Amino acid sequence: MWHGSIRSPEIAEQAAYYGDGFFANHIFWPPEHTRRMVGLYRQRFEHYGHGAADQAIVGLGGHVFMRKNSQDAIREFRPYFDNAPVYGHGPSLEEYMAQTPLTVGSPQQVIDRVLSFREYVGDYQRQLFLIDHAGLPLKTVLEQLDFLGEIVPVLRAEFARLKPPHVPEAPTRASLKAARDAAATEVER
Amino acid sequence: MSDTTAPTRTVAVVSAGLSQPSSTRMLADQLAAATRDALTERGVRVELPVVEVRDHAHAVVDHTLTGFPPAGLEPVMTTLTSADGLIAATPTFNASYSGLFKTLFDLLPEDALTGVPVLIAATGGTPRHSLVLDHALRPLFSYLRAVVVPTGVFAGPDDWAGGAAEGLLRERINRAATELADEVARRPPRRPTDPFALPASFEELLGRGGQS
Repeated sequence: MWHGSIRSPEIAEQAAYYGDGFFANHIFWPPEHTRRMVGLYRQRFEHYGHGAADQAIVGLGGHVFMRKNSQDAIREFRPYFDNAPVYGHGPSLEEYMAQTPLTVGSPQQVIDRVLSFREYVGDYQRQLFLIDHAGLPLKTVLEQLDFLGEIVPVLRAEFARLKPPHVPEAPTRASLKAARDAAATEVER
Repeated sequence: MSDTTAPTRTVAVVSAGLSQPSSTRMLADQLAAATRDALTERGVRVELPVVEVRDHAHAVVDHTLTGFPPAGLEPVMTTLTSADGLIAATPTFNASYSGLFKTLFDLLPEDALTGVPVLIAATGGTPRHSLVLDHALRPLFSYLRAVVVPTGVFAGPDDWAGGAAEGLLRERINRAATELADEVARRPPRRPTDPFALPASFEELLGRGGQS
């Protein structure tokens, strides 16, 4: 169970109340906003007694465009960026990348950027990627999926290496079921 | 002699002139100085941060397109949403406020100016533009639920003749500044609003839901 929010702090509060995961949109807006939202959720998660603030369950979005070489990524994505309804005709691609989590570049650049998110939200459990944005054609989006396949194993390994032992994994259906069965066995004894 | 124990207020000064030097900025500065004098007389210390809209023109447009303030515009928005009073001065373009001036105010969150005393001012190339105050600026700030002081100040070319704003313009500036100072001084300082502050905990929200 996740509660997702773009800008309503009440949703962070709701997620904290139930001890569920909080998913912050984290696209199209500055990281400072996400830092405040996740900070609020973590603080309230602890307040409601579900664990320490840094043990709260956090997920983030993120938008990327990748090519093998960063220059190719920028060159190919720029016309889409410049004309997309959500991006276009305002800040430059470079300004927008500096001000929001948007990352356009090589797979390694995306890995580095994603691993930097934990500097302002703390250790977190899930990362989602927006790859079919700005009017990219299907073929290009499918190629982005291939790049995602390249970077995800690296990200998983790095996140696992960086995560302190007391920070839990995000609960899954399997882990929740196992916990429920274990509790039931405990009662029978 | 400055009294460090005196109550302090902030009056933001928005000037949307485009040229340098700008007659709009000149008018805004004179209104700011007169407001400072009037508040000092009332024993209130005042800070008067100036927002030159031209300096933020690109950021203002970017904000309208992206939905978030670029880094440099964030402090400007904070100034406008936390000030205890506002002096808003614009040149007259095609019988109204300038587009950039309006765009800046279009970016304010709802209720940002509710109950805030505002002094409206404008400059124009001809005295025939003076109705811009009551036909454009006053309705704008009334809509934003600001408290617009009765005297607005318009300055045309004749008002600047002979150098500094003396005579009739000076009188209007002083009258408007006095009205603004009275409104600012009699209100408690504004508390900064935190968009992340929760008005109610989820427990309370559930409780309210149960009672209704």
